[in-house]
Amino acid sequence: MFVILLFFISGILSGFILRKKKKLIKISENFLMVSIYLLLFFLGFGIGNNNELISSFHVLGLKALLISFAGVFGSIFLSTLLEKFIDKRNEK
Amino acid sequence: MKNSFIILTFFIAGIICGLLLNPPENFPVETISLWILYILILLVGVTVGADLEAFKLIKSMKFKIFLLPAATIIGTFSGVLALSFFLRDISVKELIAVGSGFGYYSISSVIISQITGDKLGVIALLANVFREIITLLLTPLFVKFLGKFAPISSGGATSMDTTLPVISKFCGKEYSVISVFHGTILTILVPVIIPIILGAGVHK
Repeated sequence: MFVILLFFISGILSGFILRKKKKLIKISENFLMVSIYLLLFFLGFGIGNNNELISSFHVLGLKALLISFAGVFGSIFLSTLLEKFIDKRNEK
Repeated sequence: MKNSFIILTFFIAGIICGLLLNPPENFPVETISLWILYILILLVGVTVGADLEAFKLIKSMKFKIFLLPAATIIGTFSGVLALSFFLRDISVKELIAVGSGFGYYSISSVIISQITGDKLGVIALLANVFREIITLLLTPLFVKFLGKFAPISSGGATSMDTTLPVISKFCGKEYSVISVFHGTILTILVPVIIPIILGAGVHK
């Protein structure tokens, strides 16, 4: 799956080289949206076509909710500590 | 918001088609979606490379500006790690990969479903959509009880676009620069971190 990283890095390089060609960048942004739509359609198709996934959708949703709350809690805890730390240093 | 709606429409249309139709035999769905994914990642890279504002900002604000994205990443990982003691049927690696979407649900869900499978892909899609919704709904409370970094951190990658308006409204306009920077860094990291986390030890 490191092929993904290779594509990403080549994308960044070509974007940097072509950054002046606004029209081309605009076109690639549109293609980007289209490819997101297509892939999510395929993901949806895979789910709809898989009885096991459909019947466990609510369980997956609950797990997803737990994961996002865990991530949010962890990050707001640490970022609030960071903010307090920066405030304290600025007071001195 | 308009894009989120279109994305949701395509996703639901996909589910309905999947329920009603069976894919034609010999139709290489996996190969096709893998190549669309490669093109997608390439194009994300192009938009990142073409927009160098984020990098100019780094020069002007020194390294301190990296502390907030770092807090978001470490905080998210710690939160998800703590959850892994209770959610035993998903591996720690997979949990962290889902958390590493940082709200960027479109990209994270397609990468994860491609590498690990549709089941984890669905979890990633929902978990990261929820992260955006939680941020949109709770930002006023975060600002009131915690501070101005909390909503930015909670927004994750979305702090540069979908949650930016609400962050800038409740934290103040002066926080929108750091919010955009924070979101940009996480957006760039999502397609990098997820394959690395899931790729380690996976032979595929």
